[in-house]
Amino acid sequence: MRLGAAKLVLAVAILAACSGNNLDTEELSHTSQESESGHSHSHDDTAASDYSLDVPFDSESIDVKSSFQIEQGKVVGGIQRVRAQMGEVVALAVESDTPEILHLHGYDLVATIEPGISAVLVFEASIPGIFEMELENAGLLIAKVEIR
Amino acid sequence: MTLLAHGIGARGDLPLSVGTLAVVAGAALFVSFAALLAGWKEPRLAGIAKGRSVFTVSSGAALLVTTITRIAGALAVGVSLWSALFVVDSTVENIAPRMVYVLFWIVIPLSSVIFGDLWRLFSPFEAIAALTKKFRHAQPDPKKSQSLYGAAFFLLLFLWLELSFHRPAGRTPLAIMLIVWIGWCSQGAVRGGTTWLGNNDPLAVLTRLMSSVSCFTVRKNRLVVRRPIVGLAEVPTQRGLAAVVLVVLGGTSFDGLSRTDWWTSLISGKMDWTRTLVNTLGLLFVTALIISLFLGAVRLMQRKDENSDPMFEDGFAVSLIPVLIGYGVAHYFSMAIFEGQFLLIQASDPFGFGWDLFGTRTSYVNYRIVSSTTIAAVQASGIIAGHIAGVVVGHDRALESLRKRESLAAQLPLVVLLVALTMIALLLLVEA
Repeated sequence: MRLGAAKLVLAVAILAACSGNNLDTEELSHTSQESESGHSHSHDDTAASDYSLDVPFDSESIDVKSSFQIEQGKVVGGIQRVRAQMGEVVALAVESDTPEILHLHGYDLVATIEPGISAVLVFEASIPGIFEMELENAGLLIAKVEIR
Repeated sequence: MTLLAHGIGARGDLPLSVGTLAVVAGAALFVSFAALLAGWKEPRLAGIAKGRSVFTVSSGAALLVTTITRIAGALAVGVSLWSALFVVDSTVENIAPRMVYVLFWIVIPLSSVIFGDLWRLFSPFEAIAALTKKFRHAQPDPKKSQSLYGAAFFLLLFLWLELSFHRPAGRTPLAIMLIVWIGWCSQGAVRGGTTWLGNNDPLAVLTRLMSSVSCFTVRKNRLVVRRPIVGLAEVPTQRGLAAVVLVVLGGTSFDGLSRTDWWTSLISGKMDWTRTLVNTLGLLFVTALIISLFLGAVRLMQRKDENSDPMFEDGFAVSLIPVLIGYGVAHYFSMAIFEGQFLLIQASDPFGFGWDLFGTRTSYVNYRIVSSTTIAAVQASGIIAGHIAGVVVGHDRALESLRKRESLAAQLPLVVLLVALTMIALLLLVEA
């Protein structure tokens, strides 16, 4: 509970518009309903993401790594821009003093945050563009992820 | 960008490279002064704007086509209102936000640039105007110029909702907006018919102005083909034309500004009405800046020309229409492509009943359908083409309306204004 679990990954799975957790077992049980590549934008509650990777935050295979801390509704140190090249593996960790839902737009990666436990999103940069990562409930922008 | 945070426009465009900026800016400057120095000495556009008639549609066929398109338009408006009133408040489940901000606000006006005035074809309010025609006693005189200030006011309100209000994609604000729009246009269609709509329905005014650059237009059941851009010469000078164009230019510029890191940091942590307040000040400031640039340049021209035409600035606002289109393409092309796909997915099951009308219900948005290189190329070409057309039309308009039309000095402020607007647009795209 001290070292490794400090960066406990709660969920690095894709959901339709933050509607709940989606663990691997659920993904398997839902495959019959999903289109192969359907990520998020269907009306279904769950869909598998093409983008999320099951890699821990301290793994050596991560190319771009950023951590963020949210205190009293503000991003400590201000909004940042995370830059990555196509094909790189990106890991974003967010810690918040309130329970929240973390959402990276476009890639539609979602994770729940509990106070004291950061959420981590790990994905392969495979869509170019600028994507906002925000706290879904507060509507707070945390970072812009620029992938080229 | 405000909408981004609320689930529409998940993917933002990459900033333009400084190299692209240099090329486009250089080309813009070169074209501006080349047109001024080597340009023609007589107004020409109005002469070639007539175009030629390709074919005539029988009135029966025209009635059939417009009946179908306007029923489709009524369905689109109706589904939007229904969803805004009764479907769950979510940009994924509810189709209303994308119907309004993507279909009506981006896809219809931008497609009209290519295909001609689509809203005139699809507007359900045109159907109301046609159905109530025989009950109208006093037909408004189409020759008498109507003011566009009403349309400009509603466009400003709409832009405020989209860019400044903190919940632009919320159900309630959208429902209020739709009810006001439908009410305003329906009563006007009954009282003033199609002439009223063309001057007062904000979407109809915007689409009419933007479609004037198109190669296609319809005149009394005749499909007319003309060269691109030349149709601008036929846009009538109306009071408030400058207001309409400047309000939309100001809104688009503020949209660009609000995507910069500087603005994002400024509003970070500001929630709800505080955010609305800051964004309102931003929108008003940028719009006021654009208006002052324009009025400054045009008044200077007017003074140099010793011209007392009361509608002087509205006449020259025509040269900003292509600039406006360029801004629109640069800012919203990718959004139309990506969010348009999302709209198609939602359209299969608009009310969340589990329908699959178009077989797209379980599809997903393909963010790789156009590459970022293509998007950057479209953005740069949109800006440069808009600028060139603006210079050409402005020069032509100057030859037509200036008293001292051989004087290049009198035209210089307009060219400087167009260069300034183009540079602003480019800088905002580089800072995106």
